[in-house]
Amino acid sequence: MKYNPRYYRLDIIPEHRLAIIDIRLKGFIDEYKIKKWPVDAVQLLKKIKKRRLIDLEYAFVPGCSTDFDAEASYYPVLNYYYIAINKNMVLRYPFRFSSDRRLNFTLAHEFGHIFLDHLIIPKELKTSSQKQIEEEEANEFAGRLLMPERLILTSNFVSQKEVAKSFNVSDQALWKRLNHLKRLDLLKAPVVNVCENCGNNQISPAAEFCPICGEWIVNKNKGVMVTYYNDGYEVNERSKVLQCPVCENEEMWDRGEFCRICGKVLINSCTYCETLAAGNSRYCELCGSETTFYQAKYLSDWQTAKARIEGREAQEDEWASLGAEISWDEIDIPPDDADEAPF
Amino acid sequence: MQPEFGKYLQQLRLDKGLSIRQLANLSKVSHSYLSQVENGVRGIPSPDVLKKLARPLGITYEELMQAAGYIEEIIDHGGYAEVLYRDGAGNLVDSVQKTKEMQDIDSKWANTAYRVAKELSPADRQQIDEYARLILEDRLKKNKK
Repeated sequence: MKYNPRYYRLDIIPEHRLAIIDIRLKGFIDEYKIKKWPVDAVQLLKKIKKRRLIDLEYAFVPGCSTDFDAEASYYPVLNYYYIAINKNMVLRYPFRFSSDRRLNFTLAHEFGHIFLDHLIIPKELKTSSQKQIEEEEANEFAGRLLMPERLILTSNFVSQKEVAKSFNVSDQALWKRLNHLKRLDLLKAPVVNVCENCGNNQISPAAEFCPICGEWIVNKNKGVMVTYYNDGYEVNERSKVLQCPVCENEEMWDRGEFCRICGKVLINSCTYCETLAAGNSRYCELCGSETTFYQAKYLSDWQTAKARIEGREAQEDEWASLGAEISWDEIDIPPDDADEAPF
Repeated sequence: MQPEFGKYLQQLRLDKGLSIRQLANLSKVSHSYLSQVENGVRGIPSPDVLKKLARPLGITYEELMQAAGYIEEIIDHGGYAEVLYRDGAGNLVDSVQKTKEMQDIDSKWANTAYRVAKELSPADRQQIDEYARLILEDRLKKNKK
């Protein structure tokens, strides 16, 4: 079964509102320069306040019942938004368990209310079914923000728990998102080998080291988020390029190892044990040494490659510098003394 | 059409007595882009940009969207109305919600989100508002300084 109709709520949202969710979410992701997943909504909250595009304040409010996690309000007179986070419901931050990660979704849900303009009209003017639709809209906004379809569908479903952890959401939030995508079948999809360090999934069965990042991957090959390193050179069965990567010369002797024009290496192999390697391998799968193509700098290091493949440049994260300005004292997080909560 | 919209924006800016750089600072839209729009070099700005410009120019977003030539469609939701905006090709670009009669929403202290399963208890509501009040007072003090 690809979805459970009992918990499928997407159909109550009108078609044009689903389009608005996409439009607003795209604007939101561009404006706050969200480029890396998982998203940490607590950090994002600070970012939104700091950027001052909307006037936003937040507080961790003590002494409330456990009926709610967080609540967004809008104060029309002063044109300012306020998110009250129930201090009793913040278990641990940074999050450790599925139950801690509820807060991440709740905050994203409140961002949904704010950026979908749900708070502009007083709730007294809305019917209960309209309010219900807005709750679902906010959920959908949060789901799409924290678990983008593109990343969810390409993930390696090692287990529900592991995937939820990778996206920084609770196990239930992941399940609901999959249900709305009508892809509950992914929970039972065959598990493949994915390097836990760099997300590479092109690993041969005999490999001891990841050919992309060189990590020892025995017992560390059950990564969740997958990156497809498509920056390799086309090579033949003897790991030899069809065209020189440097001077583009195509005329080469069948057994030649170096380009007859520029003298550069043409075969990708281990510099230590000489095992042949794939066109995108930076390290030997058997001994972990660097390959000839990596030493010749035909291939960039995996971090640079990953950033380029994911459409972001490694150094241009302007929020990284901003993050340093935000003092941790600003945010009042309860101590890590709550009991270990089971999922 | 496009050069006129640029002139219209320029007029709004001059009426407010703002320089391009001042407007750029207030709206967080780049000044080079603003000057290109005013001179008709760039086309009609996207809704995101118009949204940022509206407040500093002292005009509503809806008026700007209208002037920019986006097409309106109104959906009646009973208690309030929703205005959809489409571009020339008919693609949905944004929506704005409005109260139908000019309700006295300013008299309300806050519009809050709600939980469908559980409405907040009065005690929680009070606690939340108390904190909001504290932050506001703090902020007003800072503004005075």
